[in-house]
Amino acid sequence: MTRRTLRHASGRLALAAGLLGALSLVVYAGVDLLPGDPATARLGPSSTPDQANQARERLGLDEPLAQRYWEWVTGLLRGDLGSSANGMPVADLLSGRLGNTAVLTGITVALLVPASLALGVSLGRRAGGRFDGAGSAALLLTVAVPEFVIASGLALVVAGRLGWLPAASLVPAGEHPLGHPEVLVLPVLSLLLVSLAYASRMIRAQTVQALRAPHIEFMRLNGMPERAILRQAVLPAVLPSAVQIWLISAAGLMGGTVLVEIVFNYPGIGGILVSSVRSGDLPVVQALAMFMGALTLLATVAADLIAAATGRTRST
Amino acid sequence: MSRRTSSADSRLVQATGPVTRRGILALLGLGAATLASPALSGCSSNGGGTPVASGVPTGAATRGGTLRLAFPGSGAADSLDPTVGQTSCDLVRYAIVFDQLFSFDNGTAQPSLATAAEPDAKGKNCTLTLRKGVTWHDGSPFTAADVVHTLKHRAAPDRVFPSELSQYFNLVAARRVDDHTVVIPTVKTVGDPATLLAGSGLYVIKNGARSFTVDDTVGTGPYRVTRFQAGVETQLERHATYWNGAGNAEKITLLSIEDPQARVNAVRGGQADYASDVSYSTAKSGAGGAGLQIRTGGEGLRTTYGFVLNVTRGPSADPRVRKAIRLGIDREALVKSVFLGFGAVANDLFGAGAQHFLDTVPVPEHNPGQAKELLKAAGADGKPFVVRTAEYEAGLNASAELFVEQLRGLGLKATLIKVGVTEGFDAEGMKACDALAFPLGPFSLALTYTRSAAYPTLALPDEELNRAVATAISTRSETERAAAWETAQQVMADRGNWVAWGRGDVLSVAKEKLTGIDGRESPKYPWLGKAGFVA
Repeated sequence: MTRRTLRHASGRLALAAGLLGALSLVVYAGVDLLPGDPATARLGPSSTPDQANQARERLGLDEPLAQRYWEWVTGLLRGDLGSSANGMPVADLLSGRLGNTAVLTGITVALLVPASLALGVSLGRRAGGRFDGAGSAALLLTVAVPEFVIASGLALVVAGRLGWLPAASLVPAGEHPLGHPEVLVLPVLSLLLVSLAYASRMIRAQTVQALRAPHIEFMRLNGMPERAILRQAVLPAVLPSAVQIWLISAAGLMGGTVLVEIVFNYPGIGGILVSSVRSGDLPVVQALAMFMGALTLLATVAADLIAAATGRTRST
Repeated sequence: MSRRTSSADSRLVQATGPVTRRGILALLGLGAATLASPALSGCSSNGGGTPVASGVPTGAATRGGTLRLAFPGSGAADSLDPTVGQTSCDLVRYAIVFDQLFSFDNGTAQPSLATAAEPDAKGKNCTLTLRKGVTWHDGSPFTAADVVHTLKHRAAPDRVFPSELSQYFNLVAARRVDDHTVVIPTVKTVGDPATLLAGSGLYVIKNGARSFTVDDTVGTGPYRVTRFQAGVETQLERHATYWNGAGNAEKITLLSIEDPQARVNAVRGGQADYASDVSYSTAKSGAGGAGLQIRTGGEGLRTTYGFVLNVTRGPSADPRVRKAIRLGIDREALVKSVFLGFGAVANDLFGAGAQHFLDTVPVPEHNPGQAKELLKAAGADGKPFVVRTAEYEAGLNASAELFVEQLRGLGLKATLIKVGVTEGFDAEGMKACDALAFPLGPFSLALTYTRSAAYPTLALPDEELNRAVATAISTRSETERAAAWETAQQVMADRGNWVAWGRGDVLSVAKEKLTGIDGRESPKYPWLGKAGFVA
């Protein structure tokens, strides 16, 4: 690394820290401004206005927003995520589930990397041909479909009609999803199909661009075998962009997984996010939004740093 | 009193007859999505796919086996603490791990851990007589000290949900008289404490119990917790010395599955034996597998769907407008498009299925002509009318859309405000509407009438009504109470602010051989103490 890239990297990290601070404010205030009243939302139709007032007081909702934000953000710095509306520590609610979601996204990324590289490069090398035409059209179609539609389709067909795999990702209490690999297949497949379509299209475009470079033309004219050209010129040109694409895809998966987890009842953060938004459990929503936002931010910064280190601009 | 149906004769509904378009859609797995559209279902629901009722297995459940039952939970917020959870999955678990002092059966309060609750003549105290010979899961005997602790714990200010019982009883002042007698001072005169106690979700915990992990969750109920993971599942084992006869199934696993389609998929895929709270459109498309049934919770345990008119503002303040709306709406159309046939029209009263419910009040006849005249006479013709709805129950928003259409047809300038469930009971929002979509399960009349009166925008300020409700709650005479409830309901039928247009079935999908799913308080969270498989 040169001094210039080091300076660039530290600048980026400082910017990321500043953005995280801003993100925390946006997340806290934004979630607080969600329509509805967390007290009546929690107590439901069976509560009286008096009971709702008591609940508001107990949840600290009667204090000014600035004060609540300050308490929250200082707690966050100490690693204290606060307590959910029903009194459980938010960290306890999320801990096991974040791990389960990480398993899902981790496996997806591990499959995404080789699959998208192979698919993207082979389509790119055949650009304009019949294989590329059919492949690219299929990818475009898949990109346009939301993850939960694919997930519902897989649940209905592969699990419901064919009965090959479980329709619900039920993991016995106290056990880990990795101990029951069959419950991971359909959720991973749903996530993979969409992210694969996106990543392969981007890598295909990079390959096509790389193949147009004059030095590759020169290698070909000199009679170098295609495999060698691929290894020595095409892959080195494509990989830096591909890494950025994978990083962005991985961050994006966090959002897609929420919906996929709901469809399969996978015990990740998806269920918590949806149920806590529905019940107005603000501390949980704030912690999750902060976590997901921070992850996306860090992935983007990492992609930028890789671009700087390899002397390329970000291509996504 | 209306008859409730419990597990033994609860209804089975299934699509029969020759192959229909609906049957084919169900086969393709498209049923749910396609049939959700009221327009489509309206035109073909009278063919071979009309719901037909028959019976569930009538044989007794055999001993042994493991039941796996799926209920909607709240993800990681599921809790073993019986003062915290509110979802079906939580309530089902509490009901078999713990016992209440009284519990509902056939709409009336039945003795459970208490055998009697007697108010004294002056209305100052209530004496509870407790059941003898009951043991906790850890083998220790159940005594008055446990009940005193439960009442004090329930009333503590740091409980997540305040208890309605505090309106009637001074819970913290409860005291033990002897091992099987407890006295609770009352805040106001209570004539029928058993019904109030049965409807309050008061699960009795052991003396000293404060935290509820798998190891220290000890109840007196028919099953004890062996494993628990919030939002995933609870594993339970039979409590062999349960006072009311040990359960049939050896083990029960309660699956917490929030998404309705995922619950149904779990049963269809053989991962579960039962899924509760199935949508009407899914039910219409059939059980979806050999050996599976769509079941209803029974007629006495339907959910009443309606609208509460806000009499504090606008047109609804005029009784003529309230009457016009009742006469003008097309209940049959609402039932058809919202319940898809799994329900019936209602007589504008909430509380169907409860003791003293007045089902002799006829359903108002559909008379748009008279309705329009009444609106004109009240000067409400062409006036704005705001309807507010949130999807507290499946189909509530759809019902509000149709309701608004129908009101427009009567000449009101009706508009719809659709909000998320977190906003539904926002006080400011409620003040700004003329009608609020409102569903209510089969709760006791005391709950039905006191809860709606707590919100000014839901209440009917009527002296005769208030007097009758107060009498019904405070009198110790059963005949006087019955008469008071009749008066209160007659007032609501005559000039009330409820437009309760229909009652919808609570549906589930179950394996044919599964039996003993007992609706009790609500079919959404049945009692599973005697559930099992028939041979």
